[in-house]
Amino acid sequence: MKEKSSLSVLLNGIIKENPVLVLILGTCPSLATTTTVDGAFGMGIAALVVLFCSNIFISLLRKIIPETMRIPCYIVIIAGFVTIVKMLVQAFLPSLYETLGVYLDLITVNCIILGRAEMFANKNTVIHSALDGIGMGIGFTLALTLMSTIREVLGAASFAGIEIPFMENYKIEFLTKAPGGLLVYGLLIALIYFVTRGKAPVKTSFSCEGCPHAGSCGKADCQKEGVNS
Amino acid sequence: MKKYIKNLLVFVCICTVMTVFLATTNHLTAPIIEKNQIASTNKSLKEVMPKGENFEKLDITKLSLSSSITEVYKETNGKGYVIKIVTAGYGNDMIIMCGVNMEDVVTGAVCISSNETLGKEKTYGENFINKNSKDINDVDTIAGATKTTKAYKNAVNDALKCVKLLKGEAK
Repeated sequence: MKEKSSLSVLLNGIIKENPVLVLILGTCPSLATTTTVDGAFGMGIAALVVLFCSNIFISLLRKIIPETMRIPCYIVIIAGFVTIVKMLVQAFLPSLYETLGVYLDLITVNCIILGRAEMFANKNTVIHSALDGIGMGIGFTLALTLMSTIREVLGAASFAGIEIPFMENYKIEFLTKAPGGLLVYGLLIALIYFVTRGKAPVKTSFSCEGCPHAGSCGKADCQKEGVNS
Repeated sequence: MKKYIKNLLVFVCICTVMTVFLATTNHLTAPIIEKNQIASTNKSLKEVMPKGENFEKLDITKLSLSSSITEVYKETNGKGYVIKIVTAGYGNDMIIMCGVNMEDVVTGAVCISSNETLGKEKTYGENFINKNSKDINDVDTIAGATKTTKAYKNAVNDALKCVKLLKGEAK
């Protein structure tokens, strides 16, 4: 198997395998925290830090962690880093901590983090895993920032809390609510599909084989599905 | 058996390392977090009772107050009380701080935490300033956020009742 270059690993998560818009992972925080740009950006950076640290740690320990115990081990590592990030945000960015609320803790069960641990970090070198964490984190942050910009500017006539006076009378408040979030999310997925001419969501590169539950749901079927697509 | 013990040891080692990381971070951040929380509470206290200078937290465990009241602060110069109330809004709980002076008049009310549909619940409390228990019902309910605004009114009413009870206790 041809080894990927460091640059391609880093860039992979930004468009080609964007976790939010292509892999459709981390949907819950993507919808919940994108009502404001600063909240979405903060969430993206918090997830980036956790992804970076957990990918490095899991990659370092990939030969030590027993196959049967890998999910509990990953969860302990990820939950640990999420709690560290939470404490740091609470201490140094209290307003962001209040904005993100429970979604900061929920990074622990974010599919992107566990997905990359299972799909990438436990099979690749520390350097590549760190780059994958950064790339995926940047992809997540960009997707969230883009979604939140559309929702905040058009829905609340403001950008990062700064009001846009000439848009005050043209607000589409629906966009700041959950259905508006889903609509923007769907449109962005369609846009990415259009821009990449349908090449981005190649199922073989991230299909069921990367799923944390692949072992219990039948690996053979998953692999078959990946090959056929 | 040997395999199980090995697996267990690896897991325990990972947990231990993460615990060390967490303990170190907690050691560094705990004093800053505590300082932030005190500053945030003091800011809210001053906001709902602008004339207040120093506040003392009262022990309410022995008082039979409404279950929605979680904290009570007394202005040390006898200017009134600030009550912290947790009430159910439309979605999540709303945490409201309400200042009441010795004449049973609201000096300020502010929502310090919520996730409500009203969106402007943080400024809605301004409508209660200089109102007493009789005037509270005259404060307009906002269409489209009736549950949130009614919960706000109930919280302010609870605060007024609490202050009456506290003054009775003081006597």
